[in-house]
Parts: sequence; C-alpha cells; structure tokens
Amino acid sequence: MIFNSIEFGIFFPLVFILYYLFFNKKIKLRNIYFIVISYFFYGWWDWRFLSLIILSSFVDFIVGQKIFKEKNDKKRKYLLIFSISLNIGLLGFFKYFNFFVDSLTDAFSLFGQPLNISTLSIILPVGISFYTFQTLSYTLDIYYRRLKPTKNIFAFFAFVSFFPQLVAGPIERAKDLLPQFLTKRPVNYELLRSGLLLMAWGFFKKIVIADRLAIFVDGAYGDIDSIDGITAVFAIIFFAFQLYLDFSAYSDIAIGSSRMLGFKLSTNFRRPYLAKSFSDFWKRWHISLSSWFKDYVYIPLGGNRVTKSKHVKNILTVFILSGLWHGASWNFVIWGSVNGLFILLLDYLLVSKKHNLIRRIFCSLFISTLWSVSLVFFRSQDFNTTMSMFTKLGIENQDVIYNFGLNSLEFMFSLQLLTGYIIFEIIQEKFAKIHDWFNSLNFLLRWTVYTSLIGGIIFFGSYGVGLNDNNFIYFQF
Amino acid sequence: MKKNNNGNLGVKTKKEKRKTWLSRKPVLKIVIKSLIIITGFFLIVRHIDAEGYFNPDESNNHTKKKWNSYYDFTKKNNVDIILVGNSHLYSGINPKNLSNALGCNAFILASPGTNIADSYFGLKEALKRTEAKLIIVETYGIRDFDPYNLKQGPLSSQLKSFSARKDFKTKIGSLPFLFSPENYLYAWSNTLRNHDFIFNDTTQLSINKKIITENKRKKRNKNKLYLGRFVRFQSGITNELINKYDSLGAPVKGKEYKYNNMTEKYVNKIVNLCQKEGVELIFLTLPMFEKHISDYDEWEKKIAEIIGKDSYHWINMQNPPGYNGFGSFAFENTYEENQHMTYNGSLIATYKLADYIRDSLHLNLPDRSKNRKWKNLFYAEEGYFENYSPKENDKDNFIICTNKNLRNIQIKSLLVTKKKEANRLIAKVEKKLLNKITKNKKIKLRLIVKFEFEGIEKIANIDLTYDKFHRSKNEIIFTSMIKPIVIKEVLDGMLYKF
Repeated sequence: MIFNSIEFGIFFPLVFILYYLFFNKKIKLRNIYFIVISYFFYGWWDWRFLSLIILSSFVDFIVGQKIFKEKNDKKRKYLLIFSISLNIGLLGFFKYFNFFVDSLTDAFSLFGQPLNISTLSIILPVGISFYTFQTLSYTLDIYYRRLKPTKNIFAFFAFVSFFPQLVAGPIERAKDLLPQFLTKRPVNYELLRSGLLLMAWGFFKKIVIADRLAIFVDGAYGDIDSIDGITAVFAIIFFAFQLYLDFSAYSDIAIGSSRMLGFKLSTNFRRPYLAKSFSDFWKRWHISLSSWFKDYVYIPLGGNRVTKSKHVKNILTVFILSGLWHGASWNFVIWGSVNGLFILLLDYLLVSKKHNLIRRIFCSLFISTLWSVSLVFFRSQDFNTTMSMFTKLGIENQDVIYNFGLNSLEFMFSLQLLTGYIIFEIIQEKFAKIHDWFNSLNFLLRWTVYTSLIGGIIFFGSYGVGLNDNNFIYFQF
Repeated sequence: MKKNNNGNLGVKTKKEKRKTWLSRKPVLKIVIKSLIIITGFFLIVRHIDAEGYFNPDESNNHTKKKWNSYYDFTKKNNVDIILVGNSHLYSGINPKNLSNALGCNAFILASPGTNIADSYFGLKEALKRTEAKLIIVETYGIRDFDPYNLKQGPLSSQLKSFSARKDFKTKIGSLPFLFSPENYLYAWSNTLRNHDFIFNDTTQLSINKKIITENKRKKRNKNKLYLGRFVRFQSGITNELINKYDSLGAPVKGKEYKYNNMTEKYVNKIVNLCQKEGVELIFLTLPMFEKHISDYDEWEKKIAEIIGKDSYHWINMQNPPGYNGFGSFAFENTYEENQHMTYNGSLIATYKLADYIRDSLHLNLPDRSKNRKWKNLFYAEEGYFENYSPKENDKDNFIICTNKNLRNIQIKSLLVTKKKEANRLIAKVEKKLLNKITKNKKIKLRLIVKFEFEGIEKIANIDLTYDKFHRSKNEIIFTSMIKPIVIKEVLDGMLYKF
C-alpha cells in the first residue's frame, strides 16, 4: 500500500480510529494490533514477502538475546555473523543476485572467457533495504553492548514492521523506537494536530510539486534523443528537487502518521540544499541512512582517527556501499563514489569559520549543483543514458522544452512552486521557531493554511487518470 | 474553592465546560476538526461537480441525456422494453418506432464503448424504476474485457456511463466491479478527475463556464420525448468502400473474436437478474455489412456458447434470414472495426425486431396504443402515423380518405403529415392484398388527385413509393414527400411495377 493511494486514505483513518477506540489501553494488545495492521499494509503489495520480514524479525529477536547472554566473544561474533549473513544474504539475493551475475559474466567476457550463468527473474521485495538495516542495527547495538535486547517479542516484531516507516524509512534505531513499544504512548491534541499537518504537508510536497516535476523528468529521460541543452538542464534540476521532495514527503507522512499514533520517529531531512559543505549535506540528507553508515561502517573502520590514506578509503567505502544500497547497478556505485569524492576533494574549499551571506549562498548553490549533476547517474537506467544526458547539455536551444509533459502554463507554475518552496526553506532555516510562531497564529490564519494545503492538493495536485502510478522513488530501494 | 478563568468561584460557564470536556478528548477533537474540513471540501467539490466546471466535452454526452430522460420518463410512465448495449444499439434501433409498432414503451439505455458489466449495472438500476416485461441485450458488447484495466477511451466511456446513473446504492455497489481503486474517486467526481483542465485544457474550462452561465439563463426543454436514440449516420456505404472490401478483405475477423470469464460472468448475471425480476430476456445481434466481417460463423459460434442459444431467444440479424433486407445503404461508410447502422438501416432492424417480438415471442406486452396518456406521449413522433391515425381535430396531420378503391387496389387510408420542410403523404394498404406483389418491391402507387395550391385548383398524378423501411402489423406503406398542397379528392389511382 502506498501513502498516496485511495487504499491508504481508507486504511489510515480506520487504523487511527480503531486504535484509539480499542487498542491503546494495553501495551501487548496495541503491539499485536500494530503487527497485524503493519503486515496487512505490507501484504497489500505482496503477502508472500511477509515471510522475509517475519524471518528477519524472528532471527534477530533470538540472536539478539543469545548475543547478550553469551560471555564468550568468539561465540558472540559467530552469532553476529549468522545474523548479518542471513539479513545481508536475503538482501543480497533479492537485490544484488542478478547484478553480480551480470557483472561477473561481463567481466569474463571482457577477458575473452564467456561465462554462461543465467539471471533469475527476481522481484525485489519492497522496503527490504530499510527493514534489513533496521533489524541489523538492533543486533549490532547488542553486540557492541550499546543496547539490551528486549524479551517482548510483540514489541520487537512491531518495532521491525511498524507500517509508517516499514517500506521507506526513516531507518530507526532500536534504542530510539523499541522503547516506545514497551511503554504507553500518551497523546495530546498538539501532537495529533502537528502530526496531521505534517502528513498534509507531505502529501502537498509529493502530489503538488514532486509528481508534477516527475512528469517533465520522466518525459525528458524517456525521450532523451529529443531534448536540447536547456531541457537537459531543467531535467537535471527538476530531478534533484523531485527526489528530495518525494523522499522527504514520504518521511513527513511517516513521521506525521506515527505521531498521530503516539510514536516519535527521527528526522530524516533537514533542508539539505541549504548545506554549507558536502559533509554538512550528508548530515541533512537521508539522515537515518547516513548515520547508520557512519555508526556501523565508517566508525568501525576507524572513521577519521586513522591515517590519511585509510581515511580516504573509509569515506569511499561508505559512499560506494551507500550507492549500492540504493540500487544494484554500476550507476549507483559511480554515484556513490562521486559523492565520496566531492567530500574528499571539495569540502576543504567550502569549510570556513567566516559567516558571510554571499559565501553561504555560493556554497549552497555549488553543492546543490554538483549534487544535481551526480544525480544523473542516479536517475539514468544505465551508463549510456547518463552519458547521453551529459552530451545533451551542449545542444543549443531548440524550443522543445514544453514537449515533455508540462505545457508553458504548468512549467511556469512548477517553477513558481519551487521558488516558493525554496523561500519557505530559507525562512525555516533562518527562523528555527517558525512552528511555534505558526501555532501562535489565530484560528483563522491557521485554518487558512490547512485549507490551502488541502485545496492545493485537490485542485493543483498532479494526479488523475493515467497519473496514478506515482510510487515514491525510494520504494524501489 | 478554586477560581475559574473568568474569576468566578467554582461556577463554570457552558463554554468552559465544553472546552474542558473536549480538551480532555484530543482524539475526538482532531476527528471532529478533520471531519469539518473534509465535509467542507466535499461540499465544495460536490458543488463544482453539480455546476459542471470540470466536465469533459459534453457537447455529445447522450449517455447523460438518456439517463436523465429515463429518470424523467419513469416518474410518470412504465418502460415495458429496456434495451441495453453500446453504440451499435443506439444507432441500430429506433425506440420510438419500436414503441409505436408494438404500442408500448421501449427505451434504449446504451452507452458508447462500454461493456457487458456496464450494461448489467445499468440494467440493475433501470429495473428499480420500472416494471419491464422484456430486456433486450445487444451482443456487440459481449466480448473480451477487463473492467479494472480500462484505458483512455473505454475508461472515459465507462466513467461517463457511471456518472450518468443516479441511484447511489446501485452505483456504490457497482464501483468495485467497474473500476480499479485508483479510479474510484474519479468515477464520482469530474472535478477530481479533470482538475488538470486548470493547466491543460483551459479552453474546455472556458466552454464549461459559458455553458453554466447560459444554462442558468435559459430553461431546458424537458417536454421533448427522448428514448435513448442517437442518430449519427445518414448515408450508407459507397462504392469506394466496397472496392476496399474487395481488395483488402474484411476489417473484422470473426476468428479473432474473444470473450473471457468476466464476459460470461456478466452475461450470467444479466440472465439471473431477469429471472429474479421475472422479465423476459432476448439477445439481439445487429448486423454489420456482410463484407465487413469474415468468418462470421466463428463469432456466432462463440456468442452462442456464452448465451446458450438453446435456452434464450437470440435474434441474429447478421446471418440470413435475419440479414435479409440490409443493403449497403444500411451501414456506416467506414472501414473501421466498429461499424454502425445508418438511420434507414436502423428502421429495418427496428421493424424486424418489432415483428419478432409481436409474432414469435408471445409475450404479454401491454397494449398502450388505446391509452390516451400513451397517445399524447407518442403522437406525431417517429413511426406513429405509420401505425396509427391522426387525431380528428388535428389540422396538421389528417386523413384524406379511407377504404378508397383504385383501379387495381384498395387503399385502407391516405393521410398527410406535416413535416418541417415538406408534407408527407402516407397511403396504407392491407398486407394481404399485396402479398404477391411485394415479393418484388419495385412497385409504386400512383394517385390521381384534385388539389389546391396557392389558391389554384389542379388535377395531377402523385407517385408514392413502397416504404421498405416502415412496416406495420397489417399494412404496407407507400409514401411520398409533397409540397404543402391541399388535397381535395383522390380521383383514381393504381399500383404499377417499374
């Protein structure tokens, strides 16, 4: 089930009402309720893959307890390896099997030794990368003695499968989310109101802005031979915003819906396009994944407390793995590497103790531009498409920009929306207490904002017959 | 005692009590507020839908027109025969002629491009409003389809059909069977479905605004009888098209005809519905031009499989003997797969159907032809004067003479009916008198009449041609269009071959 579907429009209000009517009084009953509805939510897409979540949850629940009880370090390590092998094994099989087979055969062919291994038609289970990393973090935290395992199986299963963040994050740490399933979750009006507003904001970002940009981006990438330089520039810029708004919208809806059920999820985005440096960018973009790699890959490898060359290696390793996490293709590997190189090669130019508005604007523009360019690797299906897109940047204007799904009126509207959105983020960045200020507004002004959001979605949303396949981009990961 | 917010000792105002009570129930408070917003938007969207700002091009929306007419008609009248199908039906059968030929009320509830599932749900709704005696299902819509995966044209047609129906219960019941979930909202609201007109079809938006303003100004003419007919094609197949058939072959291949489980399911549902309601059911196949389809027997065999030809009545006009009488004039001049009938073709099909119902079905259809209300409803409509006589006090349509003996034939009645551009002379002759002659339809009826035109009295011959399109139960019709002359007397006349 996806958030921007009619099914979810029926599912969530029902879940919400039933929860507060019958299931929020007792913790055990509540957790069972969340497991059932989360499995229903996931099974709506394909119930067969529920078995993977159940298996992963079950193994990590048992292994976590065993690691905690085990005094022998060697045995603890074996148990950890078992958990990692199973989780990464499942992820590897479903996500990377064909990629490795293809790469292997290509490599052998390159050396004149054709290899005949056929690929399998494997369906990638939705959200496997997200829940695998979530359960892994639980076992790893127990192994590093940062966390005590839970004995409450229902709480653990609910933690792994909690539907708002099950398929596209934020990737929650057990130390943050699991305790919430062990206690009662009191709610107040403010929590519910802000949760609902965040959901509405997420839907607005997704349906009104991101999906509209998607029409142009899909049109341009789908007919790359027909585009000119200016169209290529806009396709690249629009995709950068589409990706950000699409994914941050998902996080907003996930966080908002969790909040409405009394749960707190971690922030996943913090205005990344206003970053001061590339390392700052990664503290603002997909924060739950970046911090996961930092805590479980970068720091165990030694982080920056190693020799310069090893530090470089560590950073590149993290970014290559991050690229691979996103997708099983060389394009993602290149995309990850390029972003690693940005940090290694360009950050020293950007980091400065001087506070200067012009410098700040330049940094944000510079980072956003290079990030957008790197996303060509991310968006293209293959290397040839990437190269075609870069080549097209040099083609002079042929007045074809309105041939890719957005007419002049809608194109200009998209630009206005983006401008408005950027201004809004700058205000948010500048005034941290903007939410308090909004809450202090009188009833009429607040309701004007609520109704504008919903009215905007209804009348200016990019939905309709033939436009209903707008899955969230990060679903594929 | 503690002071409350107003400084009153212990005494809470009603407002304060309410506020305290609600603030202790945050979930209820958010639900109420959400419902207020949702209801507000629902009403706004409903209003915009009712006004029609985001309607698609409705210059030709006869689906909506016919359902509106059906609801109006069934408020005061019973529909005896309901015909369901798609565009083949509403261009292939004329319900006014059918009603007049049988003396009952027939109504076509067909929607363009739709399928048998749409027909079933339409029929279900239609039967709630009337006690029909006969259901006729045209078979062109009985074919392979998947309501959940409709794209563009067919989806648009099904949405139009769904939107035209008004019974909430039947509509909500049919929704999951007609549409995939992503189209549920669009089925209910043109505003949601076509809100992108704001960017992508500002022309249609302006047209709709204009229509809405105009509609508010003028009253609609609701008195005109509309029974679901939609005339689209007047002229028949040209020689060029016949040459194309000869060189390229038939565009429709009977061998390629397919149906699926869904088709069978809905045919069965229609059968069960008719049984449950105690309504007679017949299947009707309206023809395409004989060269338009190849291997028709393959198609016919599969249709027979679905409808079970032994169990149900099936009037198949594609194959002889049913096909007899349809010439190239009867079909739309198109090489496209979907070939409709012309106006004249539809008249032939209509009277063939009427004959079948009257002569072979032995159905207890009510004879409303003597009923004053029915007469008022159908008077002077298409097919009326071919079957009935004008009222005595009618100055525009009247009988000139009855039982007039001519040289070699007796005419039962001769009447004049007023048309917009010219008058029509109709002569009715007993069928039994002409049985032998009409086998060769190249005959004319010549009348020698005394008439007055522009104040001058004259005598002249008027030739009436054999009307192969209209048939009544007992009479054969000869007809001719004439200038607005005043016929004083029929002096003589005769039948002659040419």
